[in-house]
Amino acid sequence: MLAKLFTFSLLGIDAKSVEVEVDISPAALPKTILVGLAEAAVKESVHRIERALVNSGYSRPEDRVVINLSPADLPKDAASFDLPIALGLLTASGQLQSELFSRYAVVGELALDGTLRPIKGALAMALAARNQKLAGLLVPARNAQEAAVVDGIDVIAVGSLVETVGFFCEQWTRRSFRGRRRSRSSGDIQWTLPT
Amino acid sequence: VDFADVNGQEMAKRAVTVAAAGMHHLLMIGPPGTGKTLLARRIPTILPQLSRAESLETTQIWSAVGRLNARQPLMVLRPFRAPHHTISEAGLVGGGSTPSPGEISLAHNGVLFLDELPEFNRRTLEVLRQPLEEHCVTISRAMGSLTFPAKLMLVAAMNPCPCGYRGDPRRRCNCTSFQIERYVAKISGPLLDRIDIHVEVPNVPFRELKDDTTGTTSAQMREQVQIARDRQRRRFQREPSTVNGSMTPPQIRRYCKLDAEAEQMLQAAMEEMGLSARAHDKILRVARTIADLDDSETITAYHLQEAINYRTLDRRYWAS
Repeated sequence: MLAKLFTFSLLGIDAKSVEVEVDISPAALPKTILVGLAEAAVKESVHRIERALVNSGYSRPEDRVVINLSPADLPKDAASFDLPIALGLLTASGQLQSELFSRYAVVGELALDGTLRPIKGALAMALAARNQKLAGLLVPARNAQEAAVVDGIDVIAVGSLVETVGFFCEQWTRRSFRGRRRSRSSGDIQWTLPT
Repeated sequence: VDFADVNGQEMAKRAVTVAAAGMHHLLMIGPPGTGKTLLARRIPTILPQLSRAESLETTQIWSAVGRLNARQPLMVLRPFRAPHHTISEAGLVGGGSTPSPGEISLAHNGVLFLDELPEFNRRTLEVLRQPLEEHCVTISRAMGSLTFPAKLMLVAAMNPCPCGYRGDPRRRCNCTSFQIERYVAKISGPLLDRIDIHVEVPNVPFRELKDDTTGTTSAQMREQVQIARDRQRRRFQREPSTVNGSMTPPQIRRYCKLDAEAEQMLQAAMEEMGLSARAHDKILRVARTIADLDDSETITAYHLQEAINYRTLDRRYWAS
């Protein structure tokens, strides 16, 4: 089965849109192939994702898995692809089904126990997601505040793989982060330092 | 931290105020232990807070390198970066096979402080030239080129010679002229030319150190800076640059009109000191800021005089 998700790759200080495709087909021997100019941090993600899936109570696919990160000529060097690839694996192996993948982008680094670690460039990714007219962006909880600075995009903070799956199954009450509202009057802007 | 912590050095504080008011680059020269570093570290306390647009730009850069404080999603205070002099070219302006921003971009909309300027690698300093003029840096690699914003206020500090006591009336400098020459030559003419304000930070007399009446405080300086900034904001309402330090040549012609007396003074100074066209523009920009600090629309000879004064030090230290 084929799964398709949206995510972002950081290039300098800007985020570029990346599509994650995961395809699982029956095979005699399990094998995982990762293509799409993945640098070391992304290549290693396969091992993290496998254990995170198992430790979160899902089963890891034992067929031939092809993961494609597109555009193929954009170098990808970040751990933020862990979460979209994991969701792709779940979907392609029939453990998850959601209509929301076409409207929500996902970023996040996985720990082996399935919790999420913060990523770099969440603000740029939120900006890119808004410019791409997506409905929302799922980010690790510790990046939620910086991403929520961007107006006009729904930033959803997730703490773990299980919570993320819950969101896509629409079975989880989400904590939507709203940016701190600033007065819209022109001239001097009043800031409050977050405590 | 507060400027009141620095006793004496009122001349230097004035120069710092001018620099902060117009986002001009600043070079402080003086013997060791006179307060150059203390002064530089207090500059963020007199700069106005980031505007929302500025804050977004700077926060995006900090977010991209993962340096953002999790409890402060949007940066409010201007960044202050003080890299050690062992920094590499890539560390300063950005680099890597997939380029990531360097210190000058982390200091975007804030202050980049280079302490012990001649100790920096000469090549490292030279890469600063283009970003200082263009307020951004473009890094080209095989995979493509990336542009990072780098609109900053450069603050540099240095000793006048390797031992540090050249020109000090109370201590003897025991550097040979060759050593001195080699030391100051590390700062190239073109780089020096890009720094608007040069100021001497001499030793503080005992009388001033003991003095219990505090000198100018950050609050007083911030107030002055705010007056100048308000004038600049009104002036540049519909224009891309927001501070005097980044005025373009057409803007200089429009906003830095001199009266006859001042014009004559500038001409004399240019001829006598052999100043470049860029130095001429820099002097006018600084003079504009000094007039703004005075809340005056016209630049008088008095304002211009101070601006020219900030360009005379390089004659003294670099001419050998």
